[in-house]
Amino acid sequence: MVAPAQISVSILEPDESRAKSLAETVEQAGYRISDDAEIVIIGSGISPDEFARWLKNNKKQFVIIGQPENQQIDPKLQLIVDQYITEPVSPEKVRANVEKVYARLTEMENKNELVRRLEYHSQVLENQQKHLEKQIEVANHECNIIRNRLDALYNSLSIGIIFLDSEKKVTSANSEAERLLGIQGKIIEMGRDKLGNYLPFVLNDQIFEEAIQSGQPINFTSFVLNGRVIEIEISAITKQSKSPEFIILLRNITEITREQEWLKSLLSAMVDGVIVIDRSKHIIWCNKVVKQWFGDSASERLSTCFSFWAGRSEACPDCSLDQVFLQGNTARFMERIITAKGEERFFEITVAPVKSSNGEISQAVEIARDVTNREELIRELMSARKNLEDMNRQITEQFRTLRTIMEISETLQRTERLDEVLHIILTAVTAREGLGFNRAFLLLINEEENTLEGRYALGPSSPEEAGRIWYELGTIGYRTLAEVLQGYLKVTDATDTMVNKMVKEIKVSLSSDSILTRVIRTGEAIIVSPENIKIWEEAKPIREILKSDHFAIVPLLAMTKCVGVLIVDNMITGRSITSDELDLLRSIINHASLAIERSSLTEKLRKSYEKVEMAFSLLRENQEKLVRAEKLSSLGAMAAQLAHEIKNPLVSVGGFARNILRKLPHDDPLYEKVKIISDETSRIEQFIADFLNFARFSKSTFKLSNVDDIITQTVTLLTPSFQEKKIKVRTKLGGVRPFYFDPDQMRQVFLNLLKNSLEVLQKGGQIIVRSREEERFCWVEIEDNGPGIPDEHAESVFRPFFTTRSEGTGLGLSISAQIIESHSGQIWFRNNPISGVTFFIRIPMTQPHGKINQEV
Amino acid sequence: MATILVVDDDKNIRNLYSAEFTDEGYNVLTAEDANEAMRIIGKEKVDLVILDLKMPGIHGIEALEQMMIHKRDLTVLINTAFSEYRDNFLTWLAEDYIIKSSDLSVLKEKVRNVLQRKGVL
Repeated sequence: MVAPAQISVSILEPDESRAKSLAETVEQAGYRISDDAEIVIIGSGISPDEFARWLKNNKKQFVIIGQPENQQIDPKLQLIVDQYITEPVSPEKVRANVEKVYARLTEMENKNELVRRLEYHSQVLENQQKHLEKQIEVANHECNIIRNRLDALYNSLSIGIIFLDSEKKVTSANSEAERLLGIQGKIIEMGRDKLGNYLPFVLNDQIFEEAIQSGQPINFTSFVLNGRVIEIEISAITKQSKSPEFIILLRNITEITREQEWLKSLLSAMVDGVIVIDRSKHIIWCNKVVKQWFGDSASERLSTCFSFWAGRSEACPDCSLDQVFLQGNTARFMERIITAKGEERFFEITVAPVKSSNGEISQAVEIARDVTNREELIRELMSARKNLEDMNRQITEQFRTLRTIMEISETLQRTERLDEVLHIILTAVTAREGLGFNRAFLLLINEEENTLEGRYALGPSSPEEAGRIWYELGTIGYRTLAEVLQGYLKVTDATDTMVNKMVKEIKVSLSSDSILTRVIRTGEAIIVSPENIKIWEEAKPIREILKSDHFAIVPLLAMTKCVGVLIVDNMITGRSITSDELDLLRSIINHASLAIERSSLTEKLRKSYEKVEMAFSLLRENQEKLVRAEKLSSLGAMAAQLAHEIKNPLVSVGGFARNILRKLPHDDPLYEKVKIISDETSRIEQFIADFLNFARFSKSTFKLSNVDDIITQTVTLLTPSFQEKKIKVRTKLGGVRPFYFDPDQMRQVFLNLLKNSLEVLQKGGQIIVRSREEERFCWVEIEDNGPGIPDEHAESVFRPFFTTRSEGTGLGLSISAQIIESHSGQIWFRNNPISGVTFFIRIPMTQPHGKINQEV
Repeated sequence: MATILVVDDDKNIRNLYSAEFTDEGYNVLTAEDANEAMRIIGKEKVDLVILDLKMPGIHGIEALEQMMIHKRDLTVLINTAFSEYRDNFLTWLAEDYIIKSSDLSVLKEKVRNVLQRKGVL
């Protein structure tokens, strides 16, 4: 029960008093009064029309009408009023009626709610239905598109498809099927008989039965229709409920067939054999070439690879095909067969894998190339190469021999000395890099005594010595014979070896009859060995001397003349001497003999050459002098010109200086300075005068003069200077006879030398001048006890302009040397053992040289 | 007073000789080439000629020759830097051959000797 306070009630009563009384009653009943409550109590004062009008405006509200008990209620009102309260109205009546109305109102509301929901659901359903319809429409549209596409695909397939129902009636066929059969558009509904006109096999029930039974497509071999090659495949579509339907697939394989034909013809046309082999090594196919190899018996062999190539009943061990099948490699191998005609043929076989459509290696192709001709060529080549190698070996051998000869020959050409030539020959014969004989003995003809004498030998006298020599040679490490020949002396330089003593024991008269003289006479080499020892009885003395019973004697032939013999043996190693070795030895010996002859000629030549050489060196010396003189004279001419140019100004400068000097009092401050000008000018003038003398030296004037006189005069001239320095001068003159020379120049020489000594000597120094005549040479020596000439100046003192003194011109000694040279004499000096230096002058007195003054 | 003619192309030399020989008490004339020398000889009384050889224009030796042709008894001293003209026999026409030097003592002595010998001094 709902509490009355929670329920609002509206009151509709036009009469105010009634309304007031009614409101009081309602409130007494416990309800709230509200203007817009759901429950409206309508007073009895309201007219039915008014009520109806109100009701129209306030539809949702239920109304209770209170009418007086006696009053008849309008039947129209009764239809719409829910509860009726009779007058007088009490709170109890109000409460009872309002409660009923309220309950009904609540119930009504519930019902309304249900209706609303139902309405909603039906709306939803309606919407859903509409949506579904739309989807179906879309689906239908898409279906149409797909069907169109499928149709297009179906018709555009390059495979013809024909659907047959269980009665073998055509239910569908695509365009390709129509095209292939050439019955466009008329194929649908075509019956079996009519279809049989095009595809005869459809008349054959057995095929269809087979397709049903196997549940797999059945392939037919292709047949030709309308010029096309068509491959057929029939499949049955069996559904449990329905009777079976069939699909016929028609493939146009015209192009493939053509390609196959082309390939076949290609393979048949190949010169190489082509064999196709499956994994079990059975031959699946081969071209004509292969069949031709075996003629009639081809088919017997053409079952497996191994039966074909090897004639075996089972696979070959290490079969190359295994690799091809397992790894997909290409293999290559050679096979040899005997053909039906009995010919031996060689094949080079290349095997390549063939992959099936699923990528597996199902087959292999062998391409067999007939290489019989090539094989034959190779065989011929091999034999030719062997011949070549033999020849090459021979040539190499001959080359080695030639080189040995050449090296010996070259080495021999480098020397002219007889002893060296002999040594080289023996070295070449015994060196391991040469002929490698153990020992060699050389015997030469002495023409004066008409004998053959042992001259020289090389080789060890015992195995111990051999070991030592060969070891030492090994450590030196020569590579070529030439090197050995150059260096052999270092090891075996002893000439007093045992073998040398042995060979010197041999001396045979050429007129005697021995094995040695026989070799010289005949010019033929002889090998003495234990085998022919009886034949060569006469070799006994040699055997005894050499202590050997196997040796070769070879003549030394030079220009058909025999100059001696060479004996070689292998005493240490015991190796026997072959005729080849003898040949080589002979050719080397020929060179050697020539060298021996040549060396004696060269000896004579060298002596005359030495004379020429000496003459030539003299000539060269003179030429050098000439060149030097020429150089000097051109230098002199230039310098002389220069000197003259300077001279005039000098005369003015110096002359005026003297002029002033003479007029100046000695205590004048300028006096000293002017004197310096005057003195220095004099010095330059002196230098120029000396120099011009030097440049003019060649103009010697030879007169018959006395050297001793000139010496005396010069010493006298210088005496005041000597006295001034307290220098003692002694002359020891040897009475030289007068001869032709330039006295002025000679005076100049003595003056220069004496002045030099004067310069360097200390107070109390000493000078000795000596002269003498010796074997038509005039000697003059000027000796002092000064400091001497230092070694470092020894080379330079005679050079022009060389001086150690500040005021010297450096021309004195050089002029002196030129003067002496122009007299064909020599001037030189030697430092004295204790102190000082001595100058030596040596002039020939035989003939006057140079220009002689005719007036004298 | 003796008169000396100095023939030299070098002006300084002429001045030097002029100064020196004037100091010595001679009357000194100078000429810078052969032509001038010839003019002076033709005009003046010259007792001695000091002649340089290497001059531009007429060479001293040629000048010497002309002088001697013109005036046979003329006394000439050759005074030159070059010694090699000694070999030329024309120079023998001169009284003496003196190598030029800044030291005039040799020249002065020769001049004095020659003039004394000639009786001029």
